[in-house]
Amino acid sequence: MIKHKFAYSLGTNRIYKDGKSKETIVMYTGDANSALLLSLVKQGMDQDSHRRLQIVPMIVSIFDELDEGKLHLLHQKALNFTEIFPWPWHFFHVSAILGPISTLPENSSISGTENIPLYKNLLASVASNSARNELKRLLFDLLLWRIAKLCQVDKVMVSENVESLSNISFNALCFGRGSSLSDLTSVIDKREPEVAFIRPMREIYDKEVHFLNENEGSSQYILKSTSQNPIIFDDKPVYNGINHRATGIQTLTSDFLSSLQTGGFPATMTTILSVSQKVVPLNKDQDHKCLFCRIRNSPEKEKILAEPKCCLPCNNIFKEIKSDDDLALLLKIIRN
Amino acid sequence: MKCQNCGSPPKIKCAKTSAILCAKCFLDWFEEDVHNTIQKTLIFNKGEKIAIGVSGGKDSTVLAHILYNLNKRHDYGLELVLLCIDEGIKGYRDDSIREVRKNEEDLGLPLTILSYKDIYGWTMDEIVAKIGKKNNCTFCGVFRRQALDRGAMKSGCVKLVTGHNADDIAETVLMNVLRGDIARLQRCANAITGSEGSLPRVKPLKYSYEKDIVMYAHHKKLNYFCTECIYAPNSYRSHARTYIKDLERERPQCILDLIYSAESLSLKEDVSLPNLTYCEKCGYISSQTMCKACLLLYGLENNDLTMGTTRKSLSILKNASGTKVSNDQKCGGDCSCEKAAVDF
Repeated sequence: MIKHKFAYSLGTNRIYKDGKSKETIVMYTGDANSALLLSLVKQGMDQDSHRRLQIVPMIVSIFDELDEGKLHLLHQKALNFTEIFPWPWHFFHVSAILGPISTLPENSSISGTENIPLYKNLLASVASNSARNELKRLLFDLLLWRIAKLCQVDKVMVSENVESLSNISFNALCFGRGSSLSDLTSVIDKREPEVAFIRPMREIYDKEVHFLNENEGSSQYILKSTSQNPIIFDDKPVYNGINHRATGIQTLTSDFLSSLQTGGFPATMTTILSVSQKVVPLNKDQDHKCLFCRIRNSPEKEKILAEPKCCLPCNNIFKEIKSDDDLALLLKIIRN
Repeated sequence: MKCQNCGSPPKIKCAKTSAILCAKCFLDWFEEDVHNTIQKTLIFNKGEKIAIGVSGGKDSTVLAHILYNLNKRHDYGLELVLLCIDEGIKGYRDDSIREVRKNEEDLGLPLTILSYKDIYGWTMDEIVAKIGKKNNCTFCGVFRRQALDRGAMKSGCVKLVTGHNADDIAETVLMNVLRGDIARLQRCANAITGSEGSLPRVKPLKYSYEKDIVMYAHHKKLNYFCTECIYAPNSYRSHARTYIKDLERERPQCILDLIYSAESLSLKEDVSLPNLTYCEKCGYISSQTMCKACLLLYGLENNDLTMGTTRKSLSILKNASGTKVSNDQKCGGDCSCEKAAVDF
């Protein structure tokens, strides 16, 4: 049944019935969700002809590990998977977004590692953990869009599931991005007209991810810990890239929703996703799209903005960047 | 450190802007901020008679004082009256009504007090004794909403003003998402709500933070009653409230961002919303043939404590002879709900 949810999401939305190219980037970050995504895509392609998932996959692996030694280790482990998943693999570090993305790296190298110091400086100059995590999420999406355009591929499969999408919805509300709820949580996300993010694991829960990974053997593809098994990094437990000892809206949201879900309100997350599907931006003008997050926004005439072509929530993030040089670099990247 | 406005010794850190201000500058800033909200949202017109819902708590006390002052200072041209609802909660509402009477004296505004007992025939204490400590806020909230509308309309008012602040609205946005109430989500952050067939409600403190309201009341030496309702601790809303307080500690901007989120969204065209009609029993605006208040009262009178608090079809509302509840039946209280037509 869990696998059926994956197939159903793709089938009911007729994602590959549009007559366009079947080339698809499959995103892999090393976490449990993306490990399962790889496994489900492979199983889908190995099916009988009438049920086969007919796509032409390309794996784009994006790491956000800041320690170059550990990054190298992750890369070496991931290279072992290239024989199991015999498709083109390309490795990026998330800091690649801070430089030009003009060529695809060979799978023996990771693109963007030269920008890691710049990336570290940028993150360090953000005043709060909340804004820092939100900035990381936005940069990740921007990187994926740019990689897809470089590859001339119009579909990107991402591994967000029920829990991650519920958290994203609530965090979006907390950052003033209520108008983007539908785009951020739907199976097909076309904020960027030329590239669609596809979320085939939208109906799958964390427990189901864990169950399938254990029973299908795809837990071997997990390189990054889940919340049950933290990696200790610089003496601070790190859960999926978010420093758990430090607070932040994202941690508060995750704890709040989990407590409701397990504390007598088991329909919490499905309700949030259901509501997210029913809302659209009030501003229907396609011309006013934020340069950074791509949501439709109303032009803010009364406020002084660092970047008028970005929405108010993104500008609120920019306000938290203390270094003028880092802000200038970020705005230059966004405007490219 | 100095006051960021006038350079004198500071006393307050503004919750909304994080500005460090002296007491006088803070009070001036707060009143000007509320005035800007009123100007920006265009919620009043000259010559209107406005009912201010007061409970004796900090929000409504501050609201009454600020509106009174701004009305005079900026010549809004409004006629203001105070309206208080007595839910009948011993040790809570009877104490807060004393504070309401002080507001009446201080401001010299006419005060009307309506009680649940008069309108519905039940006090909240009697209701809680019957239903237990679950779903209390459902009964109280529904009854209070109608009671305020009835009271304001009977006083000849064209709008009702409530002291809901930014924290309240942020909470409401989250509650509506968590409960899947998209109809309410769409309108909960509007400047004027309830104008479709019921009394328009406005919230001048919509962008004012609760902490700033407390500071204002403290420095203005306003009297208010500050105990939480004795039936509130077990409410679902308290989960959202705790989360909001944590968010505010982490990033104060979140409160306004939640309101901004609600203001910037709309519903998809294919989403169906309930059609508004009038209650067959009392004539109050309702999305069903019988309004929620009448449904809850029916449940109380007939010992069906799930009526109105769980999803139950109105087709279940049949008396022993199997006929549908008629329009002529009263709810049991000495109120105007015996009339089918709208009388306010």
